[in-house]
Amino acid sequence: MTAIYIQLVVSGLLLGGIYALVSVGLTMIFGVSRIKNFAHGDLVMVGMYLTYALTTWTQLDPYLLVPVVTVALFGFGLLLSFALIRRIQGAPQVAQIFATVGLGLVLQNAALMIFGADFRTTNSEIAGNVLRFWGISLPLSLFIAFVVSMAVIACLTVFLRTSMVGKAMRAIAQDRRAASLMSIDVKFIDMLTFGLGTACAGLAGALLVPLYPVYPTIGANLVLISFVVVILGGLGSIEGALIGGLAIGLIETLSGFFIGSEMRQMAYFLVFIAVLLFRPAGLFGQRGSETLGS
Amino acid sequence: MLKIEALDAYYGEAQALYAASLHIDEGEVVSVLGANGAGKTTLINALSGTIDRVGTVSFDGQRVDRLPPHVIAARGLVQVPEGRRLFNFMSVRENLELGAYSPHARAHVADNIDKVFSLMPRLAERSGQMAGSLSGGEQQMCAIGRAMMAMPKMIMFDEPTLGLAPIMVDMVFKLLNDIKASGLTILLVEQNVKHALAVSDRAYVIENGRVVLGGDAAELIHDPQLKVAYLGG
Ligand SMILES: Nc1ncnc2c1ncn2[C@@H]1O[C@H](COP(=O)(O)OP(=O)(O)OP(=O)(O)O)[C@@H](O)[C@H]1O
Ligand SMILES: [Mg+2]
Repeated sequence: MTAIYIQLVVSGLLLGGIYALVSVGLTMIFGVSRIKNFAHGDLVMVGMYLTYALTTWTQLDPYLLVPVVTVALFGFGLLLSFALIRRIQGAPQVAQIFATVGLGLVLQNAALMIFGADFRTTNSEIAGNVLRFWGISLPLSLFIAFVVSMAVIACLTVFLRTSMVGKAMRAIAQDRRAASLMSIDVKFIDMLTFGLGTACAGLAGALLVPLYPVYPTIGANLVLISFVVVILGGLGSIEGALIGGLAIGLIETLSGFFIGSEMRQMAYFLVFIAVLLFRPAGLFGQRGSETLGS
Repeated sequence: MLKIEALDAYYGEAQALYAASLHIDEGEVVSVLGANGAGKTTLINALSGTIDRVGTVSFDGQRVDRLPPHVIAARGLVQVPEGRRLFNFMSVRENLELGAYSPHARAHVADNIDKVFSLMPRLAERSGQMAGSLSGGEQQMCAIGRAMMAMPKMIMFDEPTLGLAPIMVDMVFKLLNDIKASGLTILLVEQNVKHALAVSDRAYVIENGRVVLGGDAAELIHDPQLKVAYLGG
């Protein structure tokens, strides 16, 4: 009987790892550029469809395409930033909401036109394997997604702490104007950040493909979860996105089992509200979200 | 070094600087004096390019009035901003490193950190500490050190002694004298008129966004109009 609990906790944490990766992208973009990207979930969707399309086309295993999709989404992020996002930096909230929600709708409809509304699944030789230990069994795909997510989050943390570009991102997060006085090209760093955040979303999408079917509106669930994670962890905090992601994955899995799957979202919203009652800035947040990477 | 002609500056629609003209020669220390709200910070920010401005600004022989702030700073026109504006959640060392972000300064980070630390040993002791947890005087030292890390040709100081204890005020003016002795060009905004004029070669007075007076520091100190401008009369 305990095996079931272990199974639940482990798979909840593994799922949470992917949520953490999606949320890290969102929180970085918010931390540096103060943009709430409501299209973030749809960018995960783009990563999923791109993986699906490339897999179908090349007949390669989706895992081999993960780096390609990540780099492609980085480029897509730069493009979006140049064409749209940089124009709403510093704009009123409403403008930002309209622009990013609008972007999400465009992406969803593009996916609908190209791929239709059907659920699409991809087969992976690698993902078919099952890991067995401590009396529990887990799909290898979930495990890979978790390990890659954690590795990427660790790399991002090191990057933010040690590289000059990472330090520039943290500086902008804390004081944009002062950063520009340090001869930091803040608009360029904004673009780079949006590219990196989008790459995180795309990478998460690629890792999700062997686990879940993809359809045009899958981003709606993901963006909701990642906003919950980011606000729970503290806006702008990488550490917060990590802990928040793991927590939401765990809560979702446990409540799905004990209360029923239709109650999962309610369970994490209850926890979410409870945390915000006691810590309005989130678990790791500080007022003004100056904490990116520290 | 710096020549400003007919410079206007705006906060959105509101104009805060009207046709300012002044010049600063290489190696000079020039004070800009004026009452609260006169437009001193506005002038500095217009020169740094962080607010909208129209007019002619030549720095080191080149026009800089259309350039974005990061390019102006990289050209060697650097400010120590009002209220210090340190990166509070980063260490003293990281703040100094960020001061040297431009490519030519970045090549000399290690040397320049040593120089800053020898000029301000307090910063060396605190190098791992978060900038936000420093005392006011130490924060000001950090802000000055950060500006020096950029290897500037000219530094603009915006009220560097604001809110500091008297002993720290003396320390900042000693630093200013050291920097002056090293040959750097300085624009100084200070509430402490006597102290400011004592280190300055020349001074300008701003009143309601207009430059109304200019001259040698030694003569200005006796000018009755200075007092009037300062009291906002
Ligand atoms: N961000 C802003 N938006 C709108 N108006 C501003 C802004 N900052 C300053 N002003 C206005 O511009 C004018 C000049 O302000 P400025 O900050 O340059 O004065 P100052 O001489 O630096 O004063 P202080 O000695 O108080 O620092 C003032 O009338 C002020 O109200
Ligand atoms: Mg001022």
